[in-house]
Amino acid sequence: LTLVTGLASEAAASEVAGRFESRAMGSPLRFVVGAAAPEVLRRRSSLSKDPAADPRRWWRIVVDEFEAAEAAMSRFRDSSELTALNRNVGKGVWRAPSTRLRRALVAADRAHRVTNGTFDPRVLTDLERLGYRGAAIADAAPGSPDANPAGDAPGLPGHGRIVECHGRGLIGVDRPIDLGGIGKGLTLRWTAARLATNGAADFLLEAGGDLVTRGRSPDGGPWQLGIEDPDGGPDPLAVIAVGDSALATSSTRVHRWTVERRPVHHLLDPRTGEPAEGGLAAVTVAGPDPAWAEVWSKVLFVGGRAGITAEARSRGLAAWWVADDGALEMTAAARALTIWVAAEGG
Amino acid sequence: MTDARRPTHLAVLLGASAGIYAASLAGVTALQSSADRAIIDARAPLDAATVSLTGGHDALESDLDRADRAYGDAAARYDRLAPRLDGLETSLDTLAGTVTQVSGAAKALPGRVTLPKVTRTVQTKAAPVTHATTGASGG
Repeated sequence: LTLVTGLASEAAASEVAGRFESRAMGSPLRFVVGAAAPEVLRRRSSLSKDPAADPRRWWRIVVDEFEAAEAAMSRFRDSSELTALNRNVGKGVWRAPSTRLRRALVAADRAHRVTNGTFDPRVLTDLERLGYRGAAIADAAPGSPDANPAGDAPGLPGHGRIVECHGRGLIGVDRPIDLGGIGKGLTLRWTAARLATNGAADFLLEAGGDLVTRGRSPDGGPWQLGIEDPDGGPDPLAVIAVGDSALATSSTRVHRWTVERRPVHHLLDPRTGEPAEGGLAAVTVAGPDPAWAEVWSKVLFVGGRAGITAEARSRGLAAWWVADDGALEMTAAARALTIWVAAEGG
Repeated sequence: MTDARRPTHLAVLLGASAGIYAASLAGVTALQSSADRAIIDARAPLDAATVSLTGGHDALESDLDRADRAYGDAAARYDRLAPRLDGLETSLDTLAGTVTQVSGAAKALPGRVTLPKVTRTVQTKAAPVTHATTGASGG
């Protein structure tokens, strides 16, 4: 279990031919410049005196965005806004959050409502109970009457609001919040938008397996992305080709451990407060927005193998999923993006 | 003396009688003219309706003529089409016979056919080059 998070300094980041790598949110952070080669961009930048077309400047934007996102939304960072907010749950204290945290909470609240409660970031108490701990929030009093103004039973899914917005930017939450997945998706969304406004048209941005692609790859074609084998195999189970897209994966491959000789993972079913056991090992969703791709991948994972086809089809999602037995399945929309499938012999 | 004035009296009498008669005749004529005008005025709407009805009858007659011609044309086309319908009916009868034969042949086919074994050698291709791989996300 990797509980240590934090962004390595920019000096520690590496750059090789338009590829920049570091770590953020406890995961590898990678930025690849596509289409135009970096040296071409540098020459263009020096000729036009346009600092916008500079991959190093784009990388600094990436680093800055992820650093700011961690400061606002990380539950692993002791000094983050989210940790402070979680520590104040149940104390009747309303905080005025930063724009990032407020937007993330509102987005999580919307996702909770759109998914009829299947997506619920208020599972932090259960995650901590199972041993997936972040920064200490022992002062919080989750489940107390004051901490639960929506009236939902602690540990059970509720359709009440996750965040209550009050005037002058004041907000309140009824239970400790984990913005891990959707927070990463939102950070990718915001970073991609800033890169676009700063002249980056062709790039790949990756944060721990969640991907955002824009334009063309360095070889001028579409971005070719592998669907990871959740069993840890070296080869992907499938390869897809995309242009402007975002992919998010909910998988048990990394965050799984044992509690009282019982194997558990971090993808909890909010209805039970326990790890989802639906016969799936991983779900990947592609879409225009990384935050919603993250939401739907988690919702499909929690829903389980039995109903995933109908759910994904009804939502019109491009989704790939790997069952516990290793079988890879996908929707028609996903099939249209897939250029290679290992099980089909290539 | 009396006999001498008689012709004058007779002439006056005759003139007066003629005047009275003329006046009576003029009065009667005036009365008759007034009555005729009233009758003419009373009959005017009826005359207008009669004219209108006549126009309607003329239009109806024209429509009937057109309908008659259309019917005649349709009848002529049907006459030309009738032989083809006969031919089509004959074709349908032939087709029905063919369907019956095919149905019988299909019923005669076996319900299960054993296919020969086919050995297939698949050359597995390596995965295309990828720029990145999806992975487990946090949260």
